[in-house]
Amino acid sequence: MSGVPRRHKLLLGTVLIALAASIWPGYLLGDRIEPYLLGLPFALVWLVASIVVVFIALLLTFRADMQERGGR
Amino acid sequence: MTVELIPCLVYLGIALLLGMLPARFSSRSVAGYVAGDRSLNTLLLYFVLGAAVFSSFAFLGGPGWAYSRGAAAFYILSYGAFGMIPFYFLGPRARRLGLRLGFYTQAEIVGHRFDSRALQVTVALFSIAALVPYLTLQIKGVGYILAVASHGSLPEWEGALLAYGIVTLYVLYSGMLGVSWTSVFMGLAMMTIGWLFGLYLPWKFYGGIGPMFHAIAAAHPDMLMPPGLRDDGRPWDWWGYSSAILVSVLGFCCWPHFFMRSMAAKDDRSIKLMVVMYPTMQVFMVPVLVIGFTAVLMFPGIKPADTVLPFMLQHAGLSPWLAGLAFAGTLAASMHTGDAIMHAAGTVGVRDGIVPLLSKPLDDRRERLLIRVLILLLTAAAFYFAVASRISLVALLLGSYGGVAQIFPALIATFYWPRATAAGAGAGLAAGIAVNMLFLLQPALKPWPMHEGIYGLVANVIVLVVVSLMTTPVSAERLKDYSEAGWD
Repeated sequence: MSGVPRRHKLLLGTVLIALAASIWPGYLLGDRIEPYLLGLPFALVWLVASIVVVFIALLLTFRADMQERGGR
Repeated sequence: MTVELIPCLVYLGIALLLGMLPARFSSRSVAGYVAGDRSLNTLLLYFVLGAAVFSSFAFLGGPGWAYSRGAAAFYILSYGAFGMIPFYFLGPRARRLGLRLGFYTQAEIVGHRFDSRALQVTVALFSIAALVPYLTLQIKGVGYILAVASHGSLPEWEGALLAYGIVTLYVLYSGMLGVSWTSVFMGLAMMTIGWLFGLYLPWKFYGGIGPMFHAIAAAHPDMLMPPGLRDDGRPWDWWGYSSAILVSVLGFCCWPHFFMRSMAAKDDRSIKLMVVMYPTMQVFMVPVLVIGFTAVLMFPGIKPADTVLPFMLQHAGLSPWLAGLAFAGTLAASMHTGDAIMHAAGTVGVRDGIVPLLSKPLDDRRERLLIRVLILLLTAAAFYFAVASRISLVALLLGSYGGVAQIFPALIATFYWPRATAAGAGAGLAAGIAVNMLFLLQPALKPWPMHEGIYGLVANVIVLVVVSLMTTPVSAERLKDYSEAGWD
């Protein structure tokens, strides 16, 4: 695993944490109905939040990747 | 002719037009037919690969799960969001290899990396065995929807023939570009219709999404708490929920009709940006699940649960135009996935199943013809299974989900573990599929109530590592194309 940039390891780490929050036991923390947000029960909001975290991590990694390679 | 059929027919007409047009823009060659001359940009890739999220399963099964199993349906959001991430790294690598060595499919890469035609043919046969039942379900979905939309005057086989006749026409004529142009239209149609109904139905029956969830929480609080319910209505367990997500995440980008799109991409950037945007697809799934939740208190007792959306369209007192629009969206969901599967199955069958067994190479024109013939044959077979045969495909499909994930270790080894050998990858795949099948057929033997695919993967990885270390490594000469530094 030589030559792997730090940002790719960070991305993997973030994704694994978000995945752990979406299954047992991480999901136990968000496994409740209240409080509601935008009318959605909390467990669903929790899951959407984990997806948003992944999206942001991917976006930041992509920007850094493109800067390094000059947008290739 | 019912009013509901009019939006469906308009939709089918647009699909046919958009499917036939792009043939003008691709070369008359295998590269053009199979990979759109390696020209797909981010937008086209996003919608082509979005077919995995927006399929018949999503539009009928998603609301069905939410309706009968509550929060268990959240797992659909999770696996799609995480499943595409390996592709951020694997996709660009596969694309560059394909460009350099002239590959178009997953099995071609695996076969070349391990220097094994046997492995290539095995992966191809396995791919087709998984894709045909998948296609069959899409065809069944269409037949059912058109039958309901026509109030029964269109028998299921006629509706399926009409819709899939159109799909077959444009897939045969335009190939990859036909699949991708239509997918943009179908994807946008589904997203719009999903949001429209996901917001409208709760508003109509409860005065909003919030009041609806409050009402469900008061009546069935266990429905809104993950891991939700089983299909028999008892609480689901965390083992089952969590392991179903893990298997689906690992299997996601291993689907052959998925992985091969990396070879159709224009450049690395478009693949990566597509992966970045992909989680947004899951956000579009939320209203589709809301549709299913709407029916929980309003229409209890609908069986099978997968018919909850069509049931509501018939019995919720909607205007027939509005209902017709939703029927059209459901058609789009099925065809969006179906066309991609047909195209992939024919390509994989010829390039990996037939070409490696021939003594001399095919010329480009013959190969393209053969791919089209095979697409037609496989579609005819799926059509037969969908309308005439009584074989239960659900079991076959369930088996193939856990089965497809068994390609994942070989795929990772292809790019990141030079020591892996053909014997190791082949034995690992065989062990994984065997264990998966064993526990699928004999669930009572499982030590823990996890998805059978997990047991398969554990066996798979162990066998792959042990057998690889015991056999002669693949030559360094062959591996040089696979030994780039980094992950991407």
